[in-house]
Amino acid sequence: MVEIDASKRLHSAEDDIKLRVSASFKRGDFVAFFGASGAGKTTILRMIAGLLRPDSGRIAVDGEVWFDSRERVDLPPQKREVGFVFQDYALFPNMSVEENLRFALQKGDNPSIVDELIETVGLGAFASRYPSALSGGQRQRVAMARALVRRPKILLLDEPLSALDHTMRSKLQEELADIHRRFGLTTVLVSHDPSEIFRLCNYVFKIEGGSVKKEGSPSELFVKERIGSSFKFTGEVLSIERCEMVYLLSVAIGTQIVKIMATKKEREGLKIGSRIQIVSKAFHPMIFKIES
Amino acid sequence: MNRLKGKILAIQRSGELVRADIECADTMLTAFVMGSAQEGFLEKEGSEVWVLFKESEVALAKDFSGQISLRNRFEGRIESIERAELLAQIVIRYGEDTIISIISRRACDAMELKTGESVTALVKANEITLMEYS
Repeated sequence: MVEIDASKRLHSAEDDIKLRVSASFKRGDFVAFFGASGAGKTTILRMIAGLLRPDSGRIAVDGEVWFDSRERVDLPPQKREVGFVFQDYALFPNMSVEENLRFALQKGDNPSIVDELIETVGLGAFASRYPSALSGGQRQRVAMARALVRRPKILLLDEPLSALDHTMRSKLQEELADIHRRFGLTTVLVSHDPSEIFRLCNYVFKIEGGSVKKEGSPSELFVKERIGSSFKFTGEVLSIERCEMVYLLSVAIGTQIVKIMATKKEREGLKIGSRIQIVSKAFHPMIFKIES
Repeated sequence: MNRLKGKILAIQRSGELVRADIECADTMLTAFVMGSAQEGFLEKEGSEVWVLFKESEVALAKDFSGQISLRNRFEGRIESIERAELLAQIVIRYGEDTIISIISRRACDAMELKTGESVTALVKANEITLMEYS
């Protein structure tokens, strides 16, 4: 069980906001803090990691108190058993992949985990390369591996994939889900991308104006209307073409692009980039077996 | 999509398959849906629902007689017709609502549909989606 109850006054460019977050989730959960930028999501991760001290509150993981303002407990980051992955990777440019991972080892750690993790993220052939000789996706894999060196209880991910292109992003999403399962982690993701949260997380906290406004499963949070049908996809409108009195929408759903007929009413209010939900009934799909 | 307000009168289940009888203005409708446990709004008979169906799934009949398997029939009057090269869009006044049908231009011409005429809009039971009324 991870219990977070923390307050912190934040000073931003526009105005001061009071962050007051109360959230708890189970071990093994993959949770998301979702919200607009500037809502305080990253601050929450930093407070869990011990990189930022809450003004008041309590943070406990599996009954162990990491922070308690009344009891004056404040474990330093290195004692908190967290792995942190940042959006900009934060790798040491003057160290090879292997050295970046070794640097995270502490006295007494078994160094064989470094090779094991490099293999896990599929970078065995790149162990002696420097970050500058890697692609964005490879760099983020190194950052993920490095976050796991200390066998953390909690993996903290701060918009880890937002700098990557769509294909690489969905590939790394799969790898993240796999790592989460394989290492039995409790993972906390900060993201503003509902489709990413849908793919990865089993629980979401929606942050607005410095506090948790809503929480629940991704479908409870993002699917406003409850429809008695079976197929629901979230997509992004790429183009809108008029064809007689109807419209053809090109919609990106995952890595696929599909064309969908929309009536004038359905098209209203949509523009390029709009996020839409597509619903189809269970009776519609035709099924073709793929011969292997 | 067409959206009408309805009221659930009866629910019949067979495994995951749900048949809902719905009252919609003065018309009785049948909808087939796959119902999982989370769709609790289907459970309450008497509860109000949105009845949704896509314009392109609405067939039209004129001087309708004989037997047909389609149970969902809306009797209305044509309010307007828009004809394009391949398609035609017919707006039907149905009580306080309108129902829109998009059919082929050819069918529209063959039936000689005109504004003000009475028509029957037909929708198959499995084309109807039910949504919690809010």
